[in-house]
Amino acid sequence: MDLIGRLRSWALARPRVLLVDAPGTTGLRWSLEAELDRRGWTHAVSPAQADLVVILGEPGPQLAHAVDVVWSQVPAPRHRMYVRDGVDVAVALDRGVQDLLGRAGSSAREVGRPPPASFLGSDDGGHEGMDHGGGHEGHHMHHGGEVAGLPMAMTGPDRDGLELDVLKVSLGPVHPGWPTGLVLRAELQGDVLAGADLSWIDAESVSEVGPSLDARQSALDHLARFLVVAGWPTAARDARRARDGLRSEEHARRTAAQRLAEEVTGKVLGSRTLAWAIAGAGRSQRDRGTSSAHPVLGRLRHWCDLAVGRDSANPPTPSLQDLAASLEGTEIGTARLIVASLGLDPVTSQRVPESAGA
Amino acid sequence: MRETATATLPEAWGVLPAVLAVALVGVGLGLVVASVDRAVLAGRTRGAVLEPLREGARLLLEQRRTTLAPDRLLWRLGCVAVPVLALLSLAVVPVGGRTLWSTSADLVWFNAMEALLWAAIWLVGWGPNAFHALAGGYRFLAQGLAYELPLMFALVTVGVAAGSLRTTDVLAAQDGLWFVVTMPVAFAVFVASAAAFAFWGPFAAPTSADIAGGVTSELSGVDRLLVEAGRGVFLGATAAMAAALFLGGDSGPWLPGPLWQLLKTLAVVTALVWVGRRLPVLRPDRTVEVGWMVLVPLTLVQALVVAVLVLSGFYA
Repeated sequence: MDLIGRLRSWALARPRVLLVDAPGTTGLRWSLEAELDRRGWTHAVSPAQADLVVILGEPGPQLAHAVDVVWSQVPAPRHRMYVRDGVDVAVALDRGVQDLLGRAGSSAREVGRPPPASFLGSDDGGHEGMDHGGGHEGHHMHHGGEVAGLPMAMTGPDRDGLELDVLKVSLGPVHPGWPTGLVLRAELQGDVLAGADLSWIDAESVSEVGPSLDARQSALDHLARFLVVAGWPTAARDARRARDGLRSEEHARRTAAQRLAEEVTGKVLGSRTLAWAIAGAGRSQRDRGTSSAHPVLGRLRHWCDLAVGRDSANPPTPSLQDLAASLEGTEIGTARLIVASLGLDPVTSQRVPESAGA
Repeated sequence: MRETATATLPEAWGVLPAVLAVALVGVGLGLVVASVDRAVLAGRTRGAVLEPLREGARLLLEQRRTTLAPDRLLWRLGCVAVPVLALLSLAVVPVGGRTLWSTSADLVWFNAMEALLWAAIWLVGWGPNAFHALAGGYRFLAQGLAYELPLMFALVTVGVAAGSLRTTDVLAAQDGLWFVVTMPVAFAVFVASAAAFAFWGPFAAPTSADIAGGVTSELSGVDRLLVEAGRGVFLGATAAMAAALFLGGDSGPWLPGPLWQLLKTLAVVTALVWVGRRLPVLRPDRTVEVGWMVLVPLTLVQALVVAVLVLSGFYA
């Protein structure tokens, strides 16, 4: 192999991976994440960072469309691969990196990347979920006119009564640390959400019942995903390791995982900084001062209790409508924390077929 | 006793070798930061040194991302400015007891590079015309306003004690006693501010996962490499500066001076990464409050204490 080829295969040996988990593939996602952690590959937090897009299971039509939009934003060299249940994830990833290398090495220029503007306008629910492209989706005309087919943002009074730009944005359905398939549409002023509206895509085609999952492993998984959103990567890594260890056949690994689970939950619950950062998030006006004054913190305690095998009463999961209402006027990071703390999943959670507006 | 204190690196080595050496030191420091960070993040030391290099090579092979209707000029300008400003701030950090650039206001120069970084990061967030990047830019501005004043007071404290804003004079003034002994608050604030303006660790809110990477969410290829490298060099340069301003720089027994400085810098980097990665990202709305309500008064009291010590002839 020539020098350039060697260098290329060395550089791309640990690609950044963007995972898209179709509903009902939680177990498969755990296997894949365990393999990624074992190899030391990192997760991409946005399409621009990704080299390898891994789609787990069979995406529904709207999710498939969203994946196409994500794919259009991934810089070359890039590779998209599908992993189905029952496949050896290690073999699949090895093949994925080989294919990625093959694409990087081929001198033929990639054709068929649609221009970003081509995803504008077709309002079929799927594409709007993608916030990574033209983020400023102001649909209201403003006297400022248009830029590259995008209307200029209009202004409106914000929660403090100031005139600020209003951006129409949507989050999801594919977004790291975000429940895949959930779409949040809202107006954004600065970084404050207003008029939030939540819905699941492919709501008709998803089966309500998924494969049963171990409660402790699920709790550790929710905890890990929450910690990613909360910006604590080392604790998230430990939570994932504990989750993966508990799935092991070996007794010794399971005991070690048990210890790690206790360690990480102790660290999370004992962290004053985390409690300080998330205290008050998700609190609505009416339950100020009551026991539910810190719903996100309460949820976190619940996951931690479950993770170490303690019994914990399941706090009620709000409907999408109530959830959307609680996001009103929150900062975008707080909104992400609230959603992440619920551990929403289209397969097991209560789902309303129509979208719920706030 | 320190006869070379006022000579600059170009006077000693010639302009080109001196610039190259400082740039190399900067890249080296950035690599050290990235390696230590990688080791702590992955929880293992294997491959920690090689991984940042691999990451750099991967980014060089990668296509640059374009978005719909970006402000291309300002976006690219912001990306290039980050590493350039990091290297420029390194120009007043003593390397082997000498600086690349010596003025009567070195500390102000160092601070000015950080202030310019605000503009650079804001442009990186503004450029791609995407809302996550923009939200990251907002966060950086809010955070920057909050840490800048405490950081300035920390630098002023050093200047007061040394009676000079020249870094080599600060080194000379610490012959008897390291400044960290009399100004621990200024030292802590300086190191924490380093993490804040490199938007790293607990202060990574402008690039955190909850906004898909924030200002870096639309960066790929060489643009991302520039910003990530600049961030590493900034952290490394500030650790080296902290070693020089508070830990006596290259002074120490038995070992040669540059080795002492390297060891102290490594110690600051390791401590910073180790402590920083034990904490979750702090939300800017909370850190801003601490910055204004706690750190500004604390650093002012610190400056007052040092000023009284200067008047009483403690540092003479």
